[in-house]
Amino acid sequence: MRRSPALGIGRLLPAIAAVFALLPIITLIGASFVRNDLTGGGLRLTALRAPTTANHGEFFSAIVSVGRDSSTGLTVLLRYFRNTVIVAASTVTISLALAVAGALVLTRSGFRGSDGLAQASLWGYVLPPVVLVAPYAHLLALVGLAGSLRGLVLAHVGFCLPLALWLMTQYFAAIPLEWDRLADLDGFGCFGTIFRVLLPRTAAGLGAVAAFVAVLSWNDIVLASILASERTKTLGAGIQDAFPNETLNSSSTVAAATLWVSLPLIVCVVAAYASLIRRTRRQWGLSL
Amino acid sequence: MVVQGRYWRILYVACATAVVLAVAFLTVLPAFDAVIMSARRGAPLQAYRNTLHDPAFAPAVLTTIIYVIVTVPVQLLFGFLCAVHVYLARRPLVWFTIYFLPYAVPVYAGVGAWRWMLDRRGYLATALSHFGVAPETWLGTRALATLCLVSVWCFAAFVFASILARLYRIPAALHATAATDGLSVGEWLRVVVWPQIKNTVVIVTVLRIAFMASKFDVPWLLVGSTSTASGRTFTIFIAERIGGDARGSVGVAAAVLLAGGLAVLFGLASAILGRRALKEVRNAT
Repeated sequence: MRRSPALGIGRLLPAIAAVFALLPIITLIGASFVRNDLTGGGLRLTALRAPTTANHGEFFSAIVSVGRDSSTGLTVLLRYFRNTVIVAASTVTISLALAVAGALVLTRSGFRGSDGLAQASLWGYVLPPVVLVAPYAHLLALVGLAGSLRGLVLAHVGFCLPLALWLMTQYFAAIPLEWDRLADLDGFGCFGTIFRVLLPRTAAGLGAVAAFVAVLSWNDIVLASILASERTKTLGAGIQDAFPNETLNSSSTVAAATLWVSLPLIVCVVAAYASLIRRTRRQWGLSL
Repeated sequence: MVVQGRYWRILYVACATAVVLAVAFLTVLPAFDAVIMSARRGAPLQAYRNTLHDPAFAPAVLTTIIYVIVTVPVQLLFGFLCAVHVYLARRPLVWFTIYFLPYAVPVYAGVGAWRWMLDRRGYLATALSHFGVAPETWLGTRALATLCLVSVWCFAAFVFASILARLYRIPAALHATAATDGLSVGEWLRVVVWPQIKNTVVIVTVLRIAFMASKFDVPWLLVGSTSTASGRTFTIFIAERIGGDARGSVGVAAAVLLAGGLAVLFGLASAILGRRALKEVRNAT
């Protein structure tokens, strides 16, 4: 049996799949270089004959004018972007800390029901954000966090944590318990064992879980739409409100802005998962 | 052997307390609150009756069922083919990045990109009009088809990554035996690969059904703000009916019904597949 790209699948199917995966991204990039007077009703290929960088320039001008002019769509979008980064980063940090703590207990404490509990966390799928949004609004109002970024972070942690815990448990379970014992004998202590033995060996897994949680938090629309105020809205909920007279595909300026505010997530997620794949292939002795 | 000692025990208790409190207050309590909110004082089931009699309820459920039935198998097939390709490819990282990219793109950017392509004057809608499909229908009467297409693009990468992770755990000795026996590609997939990834595929299918049934972002960005009935899923129905005062509303009752349906799905899957399969897919994911 040969292990080559030609094996079974051939070259045509990967090419079609690659076009399917990349075409929308290329389209968005293309749309961001079209003159605004040539847009409306979608992207025509003829509009790409005279590309312009003015839309990107407009976006960066808006970055420079943040704080001075808060009325334009782009500056509103940048505020939503800042909120999104704060909420996603906080959600990732809190969810990861709790997931690591939970995974430590479930895989290391010798607690009898740990296996069942680890699998029970999978039931987090039963409670998607759309189910929890009304109770979150009710409970956050009770504790005075309605419309705040902190309230939104708590809601995001609430729906991300079960899944983060489920994934993190696996990465911890893969490290032999014998290593803990050896670290203990070497006098590492609790925190030395965790920070010098366990966490470095789950670094790729931590990255993958962080990316997974970041995607869930960044893409949230329903929680941010109902729990956030105008000042604390995130991109998912607010991107269409930032440009009230336009849709996501009616202006090249919106396309350029969408592209730039999406870039941090794209880079982080691809880097995290690529690192995991690279490490896994190395672990199994496969070439890169 | 588990390391036990005074400080370790204190650490375990502290960690367990933090996680239990977080899950209790941020996940379990809101879930109970949703059930309590759905019951009106004096008429606890009235909101559920109103939900079932809402004229948009049945079409929304039907749309969601179609959405799940169409998108899940396509995601599985596409994800499986991509995973096998990356597993065998000479430049796996390059192909991995290509196939995984849609998952990393935020949904508003992904939906926006598809709207640029499929709006009435978009190049893809124009090209497809040569096959007799009116360009303006992709975001109108055919919005459900567009929704399925965009959703497969956005979420097939999850299936792809899960199956790829499981493929990497197939013992190399099995491939070596297959090569020695001179198995064809079809035989290799059937005899070596399928038995190894079967449980993963089944559990990923259950997860995808739950995930797609409760999907809100893509349907909302694609059809949520329009008046077209096509593509309006159950989650849009819920969001539109939660409104200002959610207590006893159709929206909350519908949300509880959705959670109940997903719980039944998970309960059935757990009963049929058992713990072993769940553990295996956890290993794969």
